[in-house]
Amino acid sequence: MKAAIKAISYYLPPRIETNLEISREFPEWSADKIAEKTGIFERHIADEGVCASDMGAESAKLLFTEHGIDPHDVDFILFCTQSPDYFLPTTACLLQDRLGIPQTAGALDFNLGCSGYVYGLALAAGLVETRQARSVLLITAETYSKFISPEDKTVRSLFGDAAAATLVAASETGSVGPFVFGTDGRGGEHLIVKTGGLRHRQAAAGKAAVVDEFGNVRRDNCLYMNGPEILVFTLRIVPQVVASLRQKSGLTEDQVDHYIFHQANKYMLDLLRKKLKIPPEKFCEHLAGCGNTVSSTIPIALYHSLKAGRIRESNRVMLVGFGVGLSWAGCMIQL
Amino acid sequence: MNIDDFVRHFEGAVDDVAAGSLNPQTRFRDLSQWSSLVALNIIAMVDTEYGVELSVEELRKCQSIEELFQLLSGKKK
Repeated sequence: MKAAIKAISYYLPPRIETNLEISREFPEWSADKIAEKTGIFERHIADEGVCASDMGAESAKLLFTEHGIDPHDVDFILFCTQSPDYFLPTTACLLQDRLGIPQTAGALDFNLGCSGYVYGLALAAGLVETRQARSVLLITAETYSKFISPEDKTVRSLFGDAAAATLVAASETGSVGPFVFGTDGRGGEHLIVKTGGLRHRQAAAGKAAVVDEFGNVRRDNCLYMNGPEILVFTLRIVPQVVASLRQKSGLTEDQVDHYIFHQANKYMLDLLRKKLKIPPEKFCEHLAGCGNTVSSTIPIALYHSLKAGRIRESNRVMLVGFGVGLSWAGCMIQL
Repeated sequence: MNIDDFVRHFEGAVDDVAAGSLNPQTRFRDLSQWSSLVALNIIAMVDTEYGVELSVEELRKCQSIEELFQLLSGKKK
């Protein structure tokens, strides 16, 4: 028995931050330059008081209404976020109640970013294929905007808030797998919010912002990304994952119909596409209107690829997520 | 690998710099355009044009375009 993706919906918070608004605060970082370098025109930002869980709940409700799914049929909730409501209780437990999912359902959070969707599919498929669950609701939801310093033009330009909901259940025709995973904790410091967890509950009193070797301002309580380090990692790892997945699936380059990578930014996507010699019609780019939504980039891109008819049933699609951790995962899917 | 070609590729990695305006002795961190975007472009250029992985640590150790060229020539062998 194979598990497969049965349905996807997603939610973007209503408030939009445009390139023009960002460029007003940074004289040399024009709206055109932002669009050219990142491929992003707008990103959606959650209001104060709106958490990842709130957006996650909205995405799940959209999943139920858009696809005619009854929340009473869900028997497991997986919630992927790095912006939980609380240290405890588990945010997925709160979502069970909010969404009217039966009390007999399991629920857990897992903390991953850009690789989170593929890990979530692996966990969901594992539950379904071992018959521990029948109908898994996988929600990815992120509010990086709440970690981002207004002074950091790079991460402000790249990241947007969003949530996506996916139903994974047994399927006659579709599948998820095989999977490839990877982890390199040496790169943990390259994408980090240093304080707020238990290692450093608060920033050291009076500690000033530090300017790094590239002129980026870093504050311990804000999201810090070392772009060059992340690029080196991406260029090394993603080709390895792609090769490994082709080999594991016994597929040639031509037999993979479509590629959806984590939509980090257009610069990186273009480099990867050229390095891997993937024809443009097989390669997904969807971030202009929402930016890098972390663990939701892949489901959002998949949703749009399906809607536009670029991906059809029985197509062999490769998904690869990579980033914060450093963590990566790839899989093949058929819908 | 040829130093003149490398300098031209390096110029391509820096915004708003005229072809022929940089030379092997240029200390690239002193350029007014130096930023993480330039570092990204250099890493990408080295990967695309020379098929070599340049780490941030290695880039950090180089002061001039010539030093970077020497480092990469050593790696390519």
